[in-house]
Amino acid sequence: MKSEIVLQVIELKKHFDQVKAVDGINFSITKAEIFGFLGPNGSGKTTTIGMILGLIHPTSGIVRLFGHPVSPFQPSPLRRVGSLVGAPSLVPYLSARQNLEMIGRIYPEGDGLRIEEILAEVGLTRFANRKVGSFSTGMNQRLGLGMALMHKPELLILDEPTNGMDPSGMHEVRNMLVKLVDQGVTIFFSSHLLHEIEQICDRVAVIKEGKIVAQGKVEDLVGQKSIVKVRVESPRQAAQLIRNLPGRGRVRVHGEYVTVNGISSEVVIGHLVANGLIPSEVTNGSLDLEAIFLELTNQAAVEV
Amino acid sequence: MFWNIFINQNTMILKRRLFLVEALLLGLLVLGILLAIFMAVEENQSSTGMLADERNMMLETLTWPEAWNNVIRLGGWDGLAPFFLIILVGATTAQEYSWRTLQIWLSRGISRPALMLAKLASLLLAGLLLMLTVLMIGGLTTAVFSSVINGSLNLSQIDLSHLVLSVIRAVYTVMPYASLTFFLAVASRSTVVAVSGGLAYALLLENLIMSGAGLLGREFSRLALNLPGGLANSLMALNKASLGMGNNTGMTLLPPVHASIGIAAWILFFLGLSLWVFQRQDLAD
Repeated sequence: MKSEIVLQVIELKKHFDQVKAVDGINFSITKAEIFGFLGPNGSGKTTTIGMILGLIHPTSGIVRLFGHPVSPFQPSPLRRVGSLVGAPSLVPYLSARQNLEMIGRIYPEGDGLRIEEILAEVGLTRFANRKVGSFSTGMNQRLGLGMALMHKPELLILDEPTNGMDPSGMHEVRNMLVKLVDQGVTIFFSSHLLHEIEQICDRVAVIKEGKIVAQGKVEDLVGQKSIVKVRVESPRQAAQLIRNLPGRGRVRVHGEYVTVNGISSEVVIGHLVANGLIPSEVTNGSLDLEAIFLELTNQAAVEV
Repeated sequence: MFWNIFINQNTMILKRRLFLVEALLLGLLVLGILLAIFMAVEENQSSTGMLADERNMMLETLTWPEAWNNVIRLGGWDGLAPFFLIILVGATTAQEYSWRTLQIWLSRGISRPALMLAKLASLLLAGLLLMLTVLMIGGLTTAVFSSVINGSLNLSQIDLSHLVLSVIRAVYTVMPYASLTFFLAVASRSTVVAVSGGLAYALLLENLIMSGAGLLGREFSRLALNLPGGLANSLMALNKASLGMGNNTGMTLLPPVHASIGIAAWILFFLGLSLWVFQRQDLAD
């Protein structure tokens, strides 16, 4: 059975004068999937999200939500979307409840009962009547998340949703997202916290300088990038030798250890031994998402 | 749906401290002005420094029915309310960009034209409420003055339907200035540009253009009457007539229908420009 595509981005571009903020990206997200969207600051993440949410006009390309095109001129499919992008947009001189009431007014589901439910869900019941201007960053994020969930959206677009939250708050949000996916909600998730992405996302895309440099399942991306760690008496000399190997990735020296990725341990050992260096210890491992992200955003692109 | 967006926009404008402070200040100013006139008349009565005709004229401005015309003028295009409305429109519209509150609605599938129209309609309502503040304070104060000066208050002097029409006219004449400020706020996304631009036009530019047109000849002068100020003046002259007073301004006036259509055209022109700009804006952080 073919999975239902909820969000599809086709050859999307946004150029601000000479700056190519987003340069022809493609990806799609299927129903009840958590899709991670990673990239360093200024890579085009927020611009992409802005185009998906009909806030920014694409220079070219198409965004489709539930099969319908979306743009600032065609925003209606966004009624099925909940979003929290960066610092949440809130009316600072109104209370948390009044902010939710305003959102509730534009959806048939947004009655008083739903407001109380949301306040409890995001842990703000006690602060419901307090003006939002006096909220901490974490409380703002909670309210922003509540506003995004108010109308029971089918797609949730989140950009740094746990920003400013304490560890227990982050844990709560992670659990909430997993529960929502179980209920059939699709989640587009952008975060700097890569362990968070690694824990909950099914697939990820990495964007750098406006282009997608890697895309695929998290386990494929992590499994593909192995790392070899060797302990030698002369680590600097060993690093120099390893750097001569074709196809090697980044080579690093940490005390008596040298790490390299992109080639097998057999090739590394064979090359060192052939040059008179006998490793006293060899370990094989795989890079975590954070290491892969750093490598992808600082070095060459990989295809998964 | 549009109604709910409108209610939300009203909540956002009317619950702002700026609106409440403006309403309070406006009320105090109206009270202050009327009290100052009353005290000047009283003082001159004892010192006999004022001619009887002058004194009677001033007394008329403080007592019903003439007082109503003056109170409404305080809220009309050449009174106090436009300045307060320009500040309110400029600040509330431009700050939505810096607070990113426009994103709340647009990212939820609300169309930009619907949002703009709801916003402008709410600002019209805010203008009406500011006008009502002027009316309430001015009406109550002059009612007291009328009782003190004339010994009684004759309510039959007031034609309620004409009074309501006069208020609507007064609010309507202010709207081109509000919609100009609205456009400046949308186009510049800056409170300073919007408020100073709106005030500069209302206080300075329009008068300069009208005076300049007068120097260029009769045709230009007649053309300049189609500026918001000229149209407003023509329409507000009806208020005097409706309250049983003639037009003694001596100024050239346009027919009321012409003035009404002209004002609507200015409002639609600035609203159209605002929509055109807003539709093309990127709301990036």
